[in-house]
Amino acid sequence: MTKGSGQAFFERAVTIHRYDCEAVATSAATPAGGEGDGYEPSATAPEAVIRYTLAARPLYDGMRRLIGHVAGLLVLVQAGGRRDVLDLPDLTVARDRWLELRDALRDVASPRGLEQHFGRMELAHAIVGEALDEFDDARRQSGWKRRLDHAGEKIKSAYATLQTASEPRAGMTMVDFSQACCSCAQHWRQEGGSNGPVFDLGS
Amino acid sequence: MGQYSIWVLEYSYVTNYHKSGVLYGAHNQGYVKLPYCYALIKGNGHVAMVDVGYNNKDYGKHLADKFGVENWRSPKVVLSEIGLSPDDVDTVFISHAHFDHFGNVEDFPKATFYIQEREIAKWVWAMSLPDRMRWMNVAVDPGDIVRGVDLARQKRLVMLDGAMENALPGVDVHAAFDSHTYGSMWVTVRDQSGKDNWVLAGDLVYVFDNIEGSGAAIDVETLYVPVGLAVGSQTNLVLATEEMMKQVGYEARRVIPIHEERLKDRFPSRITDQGLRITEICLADGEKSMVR
Repeated sequence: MTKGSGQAFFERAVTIHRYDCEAVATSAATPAGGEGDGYEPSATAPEAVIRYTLAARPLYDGMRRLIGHVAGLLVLVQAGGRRDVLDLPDLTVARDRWLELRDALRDVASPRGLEQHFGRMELAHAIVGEALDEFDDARRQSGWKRRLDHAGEKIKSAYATLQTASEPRAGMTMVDFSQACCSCAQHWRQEGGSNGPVFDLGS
Repeated sequence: MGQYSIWVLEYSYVTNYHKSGVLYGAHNQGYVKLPYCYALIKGNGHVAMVDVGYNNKDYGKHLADKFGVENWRSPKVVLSEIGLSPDDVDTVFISHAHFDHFGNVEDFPKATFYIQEREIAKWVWAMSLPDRMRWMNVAVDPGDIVRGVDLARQKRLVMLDGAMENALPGVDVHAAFDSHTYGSMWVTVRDQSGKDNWVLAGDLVYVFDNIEGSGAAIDVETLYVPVGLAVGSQTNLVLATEEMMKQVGYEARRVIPIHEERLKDRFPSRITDQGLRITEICLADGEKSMVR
């Protein structure tokens, strides 16, 4: 890997973190069984890992939002008692998004050591598909409330599965905190850092 | 003295939050402490809360380790300081669906939750938008929406379309659409005379300065300065602030901003053994103080 291309990859990989952010620097801190379990990239293929991270992160984010999207539709039907939600175009949009993610997942190659992580992403995607199937059945058949109960169980399972593929080091977190309560640069500035270029990796 | 007691209970805090997030336009003005709190309303046989905080087990460690969110304590610990437990809570008003307000419904197994339908519907819309527009679903945990599915199935989630008078006797909710979030709301605790009303502002007002900002630049004493973060508009935040102020007879101290560290300077307060603040906004007849 040439220095230039590696640096470019890394710069793109850390678009939500400064190069000196604690979130990147303390990469060994994630406990086994917790958020990030399964993301154990091989140290021998950094470029493959970075390629994978760049490809996987938007898919993780897409699934995260798709799960929220489908769960929100369920809430609207079940708490609002609005069966007409089943006929909204939002459901078609969710299916379209699911298909886009399916195609994108097919294009991703997981490097050695990250097969398990990729498997969790695929599994979460498959379970969201099952939840959408339940929606389709609810629209076509009687017993729609029971179908939506099933969809609710599926979407919970999909969320739990995707949560096991969360990896803060790679910017894969269930909540986008960028405007919420924190910013990466804040600690660094307090420690005397200047407002230089965010991704100045040095020479 | 009214029929309800109100406390603001701190459950965590960020020591250094960028001031521009709190006050619109306050760029390069440093950082402020941002307490994370919820409000508790007790009286008329009810224990109600405005928001429930977030659950540390999902991403608390990440927040704490990486971003300086400190000293999180569970509702069980926090509520025990005023002699209550999460099981005592029968009603929760969710001011909006950000993770630090809607992120811990599981800890309140006996409560019925109230939220604006628009808050859910518009988040669904925002989550369906292309990646390039993802800013519009910032700070929402899809897991909270997933947990909302369970609440809905258990008939413990009530979706509102705008204001609701007497959600509890003398407790109203009011909507501020397209402001801080798409379906934000605030809670007004009324008394019969109308002279002892309190507004619990959610995130429509973060700090006192959102209501009593300096008006020196335009030669007035104070003016409304909206909060920095809004997926709707600052205009709608200012309009909501005016409505809140009207409900309390323009007595600014009666609009309670839960992210305001200086509440302790304005109301009786104490710091618990865990280093968290309890602020006593008002006491109902016969209720004993929890801060003295």
